[in-house]
Amino acid sequence: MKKIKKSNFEKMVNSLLQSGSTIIAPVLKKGKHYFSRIESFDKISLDYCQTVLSPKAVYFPSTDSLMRYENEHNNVKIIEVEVPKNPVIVLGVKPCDAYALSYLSEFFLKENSDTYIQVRKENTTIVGFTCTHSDDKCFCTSLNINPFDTKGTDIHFTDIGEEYYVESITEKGNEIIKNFNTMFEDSQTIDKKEYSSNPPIKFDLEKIRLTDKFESSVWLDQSLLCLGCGACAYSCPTCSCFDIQDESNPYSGERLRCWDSCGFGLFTLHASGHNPRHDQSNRWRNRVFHKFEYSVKNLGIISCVGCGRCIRVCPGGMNISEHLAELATI
Amino acid sequence: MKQFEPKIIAFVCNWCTYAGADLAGTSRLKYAPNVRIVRFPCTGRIDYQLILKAFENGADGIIVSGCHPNDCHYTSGNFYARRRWIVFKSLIDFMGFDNRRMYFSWISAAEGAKFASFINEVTDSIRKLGPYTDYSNLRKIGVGSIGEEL
Amino acid sequence: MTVLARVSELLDSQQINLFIGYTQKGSICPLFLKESDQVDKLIFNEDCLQNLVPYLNKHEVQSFGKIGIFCTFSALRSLLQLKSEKRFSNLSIIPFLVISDDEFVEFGSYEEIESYIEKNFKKGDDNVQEMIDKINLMSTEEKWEFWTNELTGCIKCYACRSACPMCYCDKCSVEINNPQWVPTASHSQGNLEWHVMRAMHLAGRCVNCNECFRACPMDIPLNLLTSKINADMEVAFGQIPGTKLKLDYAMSCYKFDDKDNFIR
Ligand code: SF4
Ligand code: SF4
Ligand code: SF4
Ligand code: SF4
Repeated sequence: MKKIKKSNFEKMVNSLLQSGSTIIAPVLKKGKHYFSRIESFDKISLDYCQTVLSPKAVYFPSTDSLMRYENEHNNVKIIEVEVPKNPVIVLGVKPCDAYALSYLSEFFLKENSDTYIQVRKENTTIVGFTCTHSDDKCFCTSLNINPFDTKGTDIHFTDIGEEYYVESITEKGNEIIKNFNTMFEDSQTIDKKEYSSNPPIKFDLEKIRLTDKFESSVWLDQSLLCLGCGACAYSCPTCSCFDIQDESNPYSGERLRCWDSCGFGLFTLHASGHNPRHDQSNRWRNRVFHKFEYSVKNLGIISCVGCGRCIRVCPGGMNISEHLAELATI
Repeated sequence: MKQFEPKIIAFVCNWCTYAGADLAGTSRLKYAPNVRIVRFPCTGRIDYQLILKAFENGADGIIVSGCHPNDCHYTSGNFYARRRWIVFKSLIDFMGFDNRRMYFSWISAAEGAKFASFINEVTDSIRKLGPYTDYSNLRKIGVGSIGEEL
Repeated sequence: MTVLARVSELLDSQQINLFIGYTQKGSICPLFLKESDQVDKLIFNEDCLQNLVPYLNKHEVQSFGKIGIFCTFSALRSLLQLKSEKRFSNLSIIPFLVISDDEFVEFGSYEEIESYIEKNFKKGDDNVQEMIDKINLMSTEEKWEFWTNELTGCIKCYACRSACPMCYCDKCSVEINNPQWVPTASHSQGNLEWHVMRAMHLAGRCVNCNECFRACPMDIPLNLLTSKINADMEVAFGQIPGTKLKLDYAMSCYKFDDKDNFIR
């Protein structure tokens, strides 16, 4: 294990910036935190509870170009899109988000590797941080994620006062330590729990059994509050749905991958006009089932990390942790 | 250097302005060739989104033109259109669209001369403004992913 | 009688099958009551700002048939505007405007709402007007800069649309996809087009409830757009949305002498 003085950490970040790395970190804007590209160290604001949007766009941008094409007298030419290969460092990623990023890469890369996301992942270093601020909407601990976990990070920092306690998790992490080896000192193993936030457990995950609840009336009752927008899915670090759109004219065009949400009625609307998920209760059920049933079946992972973002952004006051607590009792 | 030639899209109604353009032609009045005319049955059908689409696809200027008030072939289409333009104008001015690139006019079937001189005047002033890129430049894929808020 | 007692009474006597109000769970959120046993969870205070009327547009909610609902003043206006747009013909709605625990107005008809609004009319939020005035003073370039900056952040989650009482279309224009009319992509151009379109659709209809702004996760002040054009329309056409039960919708009527100073 290693540690690094905060002053050296600043020097390290500045030197990474100078060497041409793109650094994405939480930044304070109009009173809220957003992951954003930084130009200098002083823009970083690490004492945050939760950013409005998750860092998932680093892998999976809200609008992603997949290819372009040109058409000249019916000769269609495909122009491949180069995903930029410059190194990207995402700094200040909390354990919940890092966990979510590892889920996303499982999702996009496990069976059929998605090249766009593959390239981004290869060039991205995730610098995790032990969580120090939580609020009443956080519930990672209820999902067996600890606010100091390192899953999904390449290197993990814990604020221990004047210094950061540093754990290197992957080769990329080792690389950073190697490149700045004069700044890192050896350290004893510490109990990170003492330095982390500790959101209370809100429900017993074991008690949530969805399989036989598909037809339950609970979905209608819970979803009455839902207004059917995409705010939850778009802010969620694990939501991975997208819509392929061609923006084109007769001469040229571009194929885009845009975020989509199963909360929208249009998501499942058939061309015939039939909609198998015809009202919001079906859509809400799908959201919960996907996260807690389907992804467990498909990938063996629950695809909710308890970050609470969907609760914070919902204009209708939907609260997934309360709804899960309710599901645990029935 | 070659002089910049603006692309101007004119959305016009069939019965007045289009006929006015015709008259300008048959009267052998010369007007700038920069204008592409799109003919509609009535100004009432000219959706404001068409203007945005034109800018999106590289128009440097826009003309919307139809029958004078009280002259509409369908009696009142241009009155409805006028209300829509009043509101649209208030919105786009508020949003800071370059309003020097949008022209609204009434040109009747008998006003071939007005049509020709109007086109020339619009073309001249838009030529002076240069190409319009504010709108098409907005289409940047990937901004908003890394760079802006994620 | 307190408002809670009255809500209980209505639920117990089945004069309503559903009551939509507010409750406090960490933060304030809507509460849907089907029975009176949880009526004491209802709260009402000055922080209860969410306009609940958009819920009445959901068909799951409509299937309750007889519905009571807490309304703020602008929510009441949205209800009246929706009625003037011939909505809710199959619903019986009992709106409540709560002033304090035992001071409230229960409306028995839309006419009553109309006259209440007329008597108590207050213009929307002062902060909104202040911002609009500020933007009005900007140069064209500054306005463009301001709006493109703000709208770049839009992620096209459509929370603004979902939360707006007046956005009730079964098929929204952004869902017209054959061909795709408004871009789905949330690049700045698609965002701008979406917001121009949405503001135009709320011309003569926005009741200044500011719910769109409150709903937006990215804090985009898009209520300024609708508020601005509606303020201009009030001057130009003399109509204020959500104040009249019988309405000649400003965008589907005209006067011979409508003033324009830009058409040549
Ligand atoms: S569902 Fe909600 S709490 Fe769970 S990961 Fe997504 S945004 Fe976070
Ligand atoms: S546009 Fe915004 S302020 Fe206007 S009615 Fe809709 S939600 Fe309310
Ligand atoms: S934006 Fe327009 S089309 Fe879409 S729901 Fe609102 S009013 Fe309807
Ligand atoms: S709520 Fe905000 S982010 Fe979502 S679509 Fe509306 S303006 Fe865009």
